Amino acid sequence: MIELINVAKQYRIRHGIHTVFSDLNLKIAPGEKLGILGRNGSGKSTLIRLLSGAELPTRGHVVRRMSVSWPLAFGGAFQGSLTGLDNIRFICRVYGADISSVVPAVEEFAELGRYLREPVKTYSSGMRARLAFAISLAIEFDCFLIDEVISVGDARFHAKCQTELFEKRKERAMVIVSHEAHNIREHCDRACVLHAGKLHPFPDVGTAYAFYNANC
Amino acid sequence: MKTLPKWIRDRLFLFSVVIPTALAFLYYGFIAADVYISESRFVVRSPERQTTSPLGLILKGAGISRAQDDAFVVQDYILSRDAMLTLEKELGIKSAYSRPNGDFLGRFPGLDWDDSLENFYRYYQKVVAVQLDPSSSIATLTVRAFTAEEAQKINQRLLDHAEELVNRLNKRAQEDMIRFAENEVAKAEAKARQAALALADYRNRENVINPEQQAVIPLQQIAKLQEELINTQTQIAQLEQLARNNPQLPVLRKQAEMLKAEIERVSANIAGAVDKSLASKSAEFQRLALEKEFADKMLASAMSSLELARNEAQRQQLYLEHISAPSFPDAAMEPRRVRNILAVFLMGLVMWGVLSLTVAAVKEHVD
Amino acid sequence: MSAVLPEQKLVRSLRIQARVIGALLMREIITRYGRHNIGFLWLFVEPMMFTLGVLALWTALGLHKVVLPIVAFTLSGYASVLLWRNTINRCGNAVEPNRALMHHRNVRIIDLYVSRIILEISGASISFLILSVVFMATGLVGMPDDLLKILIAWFLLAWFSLDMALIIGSLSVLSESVDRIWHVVSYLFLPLSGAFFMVDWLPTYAQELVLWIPTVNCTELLREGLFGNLVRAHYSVGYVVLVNMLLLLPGLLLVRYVGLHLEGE
Repeated sequence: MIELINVAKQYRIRHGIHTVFSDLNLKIAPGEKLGILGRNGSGKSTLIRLLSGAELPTRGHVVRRMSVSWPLAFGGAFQGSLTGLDNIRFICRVYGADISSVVPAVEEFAELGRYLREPVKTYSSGMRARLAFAISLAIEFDCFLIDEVISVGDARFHAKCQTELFEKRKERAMVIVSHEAHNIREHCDRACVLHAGKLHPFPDVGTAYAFYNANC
Repeated sequence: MKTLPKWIRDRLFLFSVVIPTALAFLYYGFIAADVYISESRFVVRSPERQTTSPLGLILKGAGISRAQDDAFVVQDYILSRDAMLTLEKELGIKSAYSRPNGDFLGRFPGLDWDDSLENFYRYYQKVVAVQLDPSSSIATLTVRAFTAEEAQKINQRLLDHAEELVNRLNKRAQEDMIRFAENEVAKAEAKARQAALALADYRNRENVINPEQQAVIPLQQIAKLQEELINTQTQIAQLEQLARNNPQLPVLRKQAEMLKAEIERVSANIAGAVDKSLASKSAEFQRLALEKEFADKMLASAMSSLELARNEAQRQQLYLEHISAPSFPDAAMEPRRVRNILAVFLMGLVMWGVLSLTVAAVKEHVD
Repeated sequence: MSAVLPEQKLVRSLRIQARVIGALLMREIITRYGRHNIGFLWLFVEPMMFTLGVLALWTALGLHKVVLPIVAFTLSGYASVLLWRNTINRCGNAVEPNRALMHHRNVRIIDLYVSRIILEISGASISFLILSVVFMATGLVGMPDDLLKILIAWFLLAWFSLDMALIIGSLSVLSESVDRIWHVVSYLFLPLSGAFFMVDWLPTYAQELVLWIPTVNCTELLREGLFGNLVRAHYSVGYVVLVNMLLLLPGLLLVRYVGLHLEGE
């Protein structure tokens, strides 16, 4: 379970303080698949980073009672000048995973071939996303945080993700952030809309989408 | 800091601030014994030494010169085992510092059980301090003790011994310098005395004081006699030509003969026969007189170099001059109770800050 | 504060942190010294060249007969400069190249600093150790007088470097100009750091001033450990510990501040 309790996040900007959101409460139960809708700049990525713990809330608490992946996104999470393999090793060490079992799994899933031994900065963003997916699947988190990257790669990779993530790992929780409603409709049980510093929960994706269209 | 569990914050604060401050308060408030500090100041001065090495000169020219070494001698002595042992013998300082009027941490041997002299020496170095101001050579000697009297007494003794040391050093240096000169003077004196004795001896034995001066009168006599002889012979020659039968002629001839005889006699007295003549005495006399004169000159020069050595020694002397006598403290200046408690409290706060920040940083790592 | 917060054992957190720092160390070693460890050699070659260069200069000037063994003097000076300068400089630019890695929640900003500090301190220490052994073996440097003093001095200097690294590192995140200014300051500080003089050589008034600088105290202690009674060293361990302790507080505070306010990409 992940719980956000009265969470507020502020950034210091050049002229004073920008409050991304405040008094945010959210619960994600094990196995739950939650979608978060919001316009660009509404703080979706910030929220997901708060959920992952990469960023700390200005106020309030984030409680994590299951293992949570890092935000799987197009950018980030890899050190550009290191090779894919070095990055795999690094992430394994950080999460305490077994390198010898993760590396072959990633090699097989990501299908990067010899690129695995090239610096990550030479990768396309799709390749990075594949690598990120592969590693996070190999490490086996209880909750995956997915930032926009749900439809990466070609149809084949898409299908692979579909089986690995949504069929084989059905019991895992998932938070998907997107401004595109179809991604969320496809995979999520319920959805929230992040709008004007507030999180509006909805019991099903349809009403959430209606609210999103009406207000954003 | 809010993510920290409460008990950790409390316990950290307890251990790093509350307990140390409480202990400091207890100790400085109720247990710590008064410490009296007696202070004296002195200066160790020595003449400027010539720096010989070129590098030394360069450094000195650049304003980089070593501190005066002579003051260090005194400092080293005061902080030495020798000084400690002397004080122990004279004043029994070890037992004085072990008496229960000092608190259990401050007195000797403190929490240690080792009451050997070696351990006491370490303690001694904490109690006695010499601070040097190398630019002025002024040294400040401070002695800490549990009573004012002891502090002053120990300080006084140390000062006395330091002065003795300086005097001893001076004496040694002086002696080394002067001894040679004095030896020379003694030798020269002996020689001069010998020469004088030899001369006096000779005079007594030969009945002469100064042969050359003594020869002056007989020589004048001879000159007069010869003048008379020439006159007489001139007369004789005139009479022989003009009045061959003058009855005065035989008288004059007789007179000339007598004059010749007299001249011979007086001459013999001066230069003639081997032993008796003044001339033969003169050679020996000259030697003795010269010897005496030489010995006198030697003595004079030895004397003056001794004087020079004395001056030199005086000039190179170290001085230990008292600037202020050991003070008699009328109040205990240490321990500085409030200040120390405050210092412990502040250090505790810093400690607490560092520890809690560290714990917080570690705590940011979660599953 | 609600009761739902899970209590996590400090030991557990410490273990995670150790794991992360370990991972960062491996990552830093790869970029700092390269895959084939040729970069690692520079750690020794650089101070060795400097020491030999100074030795040559002194010999050429005919000053090598001066009281102190010049090789050991230069080596210890340069090694201590290497220690504080590399440690602090490397932390001035620790965050930006690793920004991406901070997407992983347990990679905290302090871990970036700590791993770089550990790496630089061990690098400088190994370099000093190996060069000392090499120079000792060739007879250019004599046996040290007191190893414990050397260790204490090295530890204090490393501690000071850590404090300054945390301060400069986090300040340079807040403002880029700090890193540049620090580079200038570090060059100006170089002659004052105590690496290339003994306090005893200075006039008294300068001695008092210069002993306010913690690194000077450290190098003095280091030299006393190396040369024993050959030098009259001036230092105060208590002062350095105090300064180090006091500097650690703003260092940790700044790192914490930066960690809380670092903006996401």
